[in-house]
Amino acid sequence: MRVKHCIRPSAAGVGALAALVFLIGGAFEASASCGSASCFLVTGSEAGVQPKGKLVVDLRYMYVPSNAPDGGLSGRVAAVDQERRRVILDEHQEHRTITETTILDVNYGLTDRVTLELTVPYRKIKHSHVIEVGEANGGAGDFESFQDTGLGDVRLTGKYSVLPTLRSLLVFGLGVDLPTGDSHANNIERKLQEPTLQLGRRTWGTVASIYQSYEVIPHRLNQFASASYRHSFTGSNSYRFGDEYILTGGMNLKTLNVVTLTGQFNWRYIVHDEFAGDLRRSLFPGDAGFPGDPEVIDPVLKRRPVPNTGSTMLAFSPGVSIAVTERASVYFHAQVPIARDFNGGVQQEISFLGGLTMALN
Amino acid sequence: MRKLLFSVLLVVGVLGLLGMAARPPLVGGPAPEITLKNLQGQEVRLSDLRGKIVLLNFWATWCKPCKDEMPAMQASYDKLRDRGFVVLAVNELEDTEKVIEHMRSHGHTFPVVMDHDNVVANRYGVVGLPASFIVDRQGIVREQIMGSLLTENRITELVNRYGGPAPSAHR
Repeated sequence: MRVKHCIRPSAAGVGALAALVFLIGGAFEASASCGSASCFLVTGSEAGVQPKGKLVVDLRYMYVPSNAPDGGLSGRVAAVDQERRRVILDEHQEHRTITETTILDVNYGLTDRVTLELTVPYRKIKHSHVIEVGEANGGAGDFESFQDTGLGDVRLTGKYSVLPTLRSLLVFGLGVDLPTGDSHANNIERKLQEPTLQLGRRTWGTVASIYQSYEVIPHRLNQFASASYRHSFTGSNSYRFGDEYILTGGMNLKTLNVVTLTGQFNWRYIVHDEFAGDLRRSLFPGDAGFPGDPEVIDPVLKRRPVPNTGSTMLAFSPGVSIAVTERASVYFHAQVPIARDFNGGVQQEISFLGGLTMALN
Repeated sequence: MRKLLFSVLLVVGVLGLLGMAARPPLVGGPAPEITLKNLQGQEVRLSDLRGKIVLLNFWATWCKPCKDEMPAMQASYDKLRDRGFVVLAVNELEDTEKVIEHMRSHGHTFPVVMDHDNVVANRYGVVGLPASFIVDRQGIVREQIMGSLLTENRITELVNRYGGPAPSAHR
């Protein structure tokens, strides 16, 4: 026998119908020096808490362009040579990154309080930059247009709702990132590409999150807020992606019967990445030996922060969700940067996200 | 030492959360009292219905599954009223005028009370609509039905199971 259930329609209107949908503020991939990036807004579908036995599937697509700070080429930024264990200052000039991610997100209610979520990303990264500046091509460097496509790191999350009511929600989430994405792509010189441009992180990670929601005007106006923290462990390549903190606050307004508008502010802070290697500096015109091998600053192999990684960004994200059937809805969001600091690397521009959420039972 | 302290705090935190989230089971115990106003503004108490078998139904007009099961509730209310069966529909978080209009336009006549503050639903652990409870003649909760499962046959079956002999049979 099929059980139909309505829970918290305002929240549900953002992502899924007939299901308890809360939005755990979860960023997916973070930006880094060579800059693959992602929207980090709350869509309402990536992290639903479902009633027992309920299965909800969400399919979404993210388009995230990132450009050098002033367009064109950036100033010279650091590079990581994984094979030779080097952090090389001033070795790159960034141009542009386009990250497209298609995500299959499945939520299943183990109990009325506990939901299991599986998130499977399929990523396409296009990045252009100038590498080996100060060394190759008379010191001008080699222009590289890099592209890779494939499965990213799969995430498994458990979510637990504390004292849910028809009007308010509090959900705790704990997730594990699995190293399923490929991390062995090569650059044009057939050397291992930088970790930040790989599809996967080559390591495990954890994500803790908390989500709160309140029906200010029942079935009309809904407020939500979330916080999340992501930690990646050091990979076998001695690279560790920086910890990521995300805060989100927003409102959903149900307008017509099937249309819900949403607006939210998102703040994200990412700590510098770390890499265990020696420290070098690419040469500049006027340096002895220019053009040539980078100059050694510190030959000791040790853990170092990677300059030009990490970022801070505040964005506003308007969105709309439309219920197309009783069991399915489509949604669209844009993420508009308000303030950002990407430490000289490529910086995220206006990004877009669209998706379809469907309850299967 | 720090690891031990962290572990202790973590365990205490998790147990605290689980404790916060726990609600005592309703089925088998006395039904929590309800004191709410009906559509005419008069106070209705669940305890005043002692001696009857009560279908307590939590609903809202925006909830389609709720509306879908209401004809069965109305039909059962009409058919089984003589056996001491009563429906008490608890509306959640809506305006009285809107509910009056809904009842009028759908021709429903069973009693409705208004849970404007969501207090009663919280007391019953209702986090989704519809949700129904069968309260027997002694005021004990016998069934808890989350989601839309109510049909005329199901309601009759529940009344037969938990209703016992009708009060008129004792007289």
